[in-house]
Amino acid sequence: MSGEARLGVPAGGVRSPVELIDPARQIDVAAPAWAPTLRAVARREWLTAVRRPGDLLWHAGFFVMVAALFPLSLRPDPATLLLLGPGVLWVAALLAVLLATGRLFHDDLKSGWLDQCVLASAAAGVPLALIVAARMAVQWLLAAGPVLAVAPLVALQFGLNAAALGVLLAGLALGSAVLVALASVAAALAAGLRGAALLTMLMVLPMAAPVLVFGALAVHAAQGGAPAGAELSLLGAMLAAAALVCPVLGALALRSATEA
Amino acid sequence: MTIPGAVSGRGQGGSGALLTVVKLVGERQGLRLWGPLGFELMPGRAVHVQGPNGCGKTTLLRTLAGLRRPALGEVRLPVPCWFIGHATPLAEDLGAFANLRLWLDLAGAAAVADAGLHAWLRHWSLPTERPVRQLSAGQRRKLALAPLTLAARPLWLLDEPFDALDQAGCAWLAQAAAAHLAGGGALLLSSHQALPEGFPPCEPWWLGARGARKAAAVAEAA
Repeated sequence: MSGEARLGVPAGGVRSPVELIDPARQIDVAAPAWAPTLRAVARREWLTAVRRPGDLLWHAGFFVMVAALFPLSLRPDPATLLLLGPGVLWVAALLAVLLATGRLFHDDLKSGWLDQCVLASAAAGVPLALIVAARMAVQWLLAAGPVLAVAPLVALQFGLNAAALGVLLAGLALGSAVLVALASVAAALAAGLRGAALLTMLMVLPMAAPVLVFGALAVHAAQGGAPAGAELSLLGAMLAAAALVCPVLGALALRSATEA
Repeated sequence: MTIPGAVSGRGQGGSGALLTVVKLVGERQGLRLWGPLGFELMPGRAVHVQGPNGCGKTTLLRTLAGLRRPALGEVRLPVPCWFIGHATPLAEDLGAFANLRLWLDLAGAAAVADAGLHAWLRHWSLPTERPVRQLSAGQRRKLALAPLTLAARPLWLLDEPFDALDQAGCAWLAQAAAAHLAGGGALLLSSHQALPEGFPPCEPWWLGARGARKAAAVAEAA
């Protein structure tokens, strides 16, 4: 259909003279037409999260609690802690990220913001997948940022050395991005359903297993003084694939969610 | 001008219509709600869709806006439109100004100046920064309708716009709608209540299982 091409044409022409046009703003309209759209999606997410710092703290707190309770419940022996540390840290981080992402689109669907996103994507010619990708990127900062920030503290408890800590942080940064991408797709599929958070967990956990396996292996390798490049590269490859595929899948899921 | 309910044979576009609907059928869970509908919304035309709860008014509006795929038929929307649904697309934790700014940016109306938004909020004495969750339902409704006048678009699709709106708000919407129609716009709205005083005259349509008919025809048959 030629609809999209025609939609774009009158956009400038039909504005009524009543509309106030600020010259400073007109300049960024001349930039790619969809830049303000994507910026608005990302900014809204960011501002909302900043207004509710408790949620961010809670994600970090969850990570700390899970990871800190393990050493207390195990034999207090450095060898055991070293053995279990990487796995525990990764599981705790994975759960914290999933917890944060489970209800990603719930409020947006209920408030009708998703409708406006779908309409804007049609009107401005922005692929909905890009809008979803912008959401995912901000969600990654919000969900993984606090976890990464407190990870060094928790890693101390398990006696991780500096090299292992570096690999843990790099692995978590890559791996959590994959997890956020997967969880966003699941959240989009479950949007509007009751028990969406639980459904998201169930859908993501099987797919998250490879991330967990390679992430923990990388830390183990670094702890033993072996290079962890291979595992980190695999995590990077997973992220590359997820970054390409997940926004498209998420957009498809959201479109059907708004059709309901 | 085609008659609502009759299937439009013409309307091949290019006629200046802001919205063209051809043989449109609405379904929900396999049940036909309305249709086939065929009509053209020409500039200056206003339509008031009525019908009992569950007759598919919202479905019709969402289909026209392009949010729902029609079960059958085609919607041609050659101009940008505002679809303001029953829900208010506001972020509960953000202030009124941030909400409007983000919405307009999203919708490709980033050219609307901040000063215009501030002036609008001042006019309704709406707090700029206070989280929207603390505003009343009517204030939120006003915010949801704000883009209509802040960034003009030739077609308005409004689902229950008078919901929770106070008298001043209704009067404002009536005035805005009159200016919109006079300026060559068209609008289609659904509402249970009678239109407020001063609202420009709208063609009443009755949405039912046998398609949209003029409400007058329904009244005559009854």
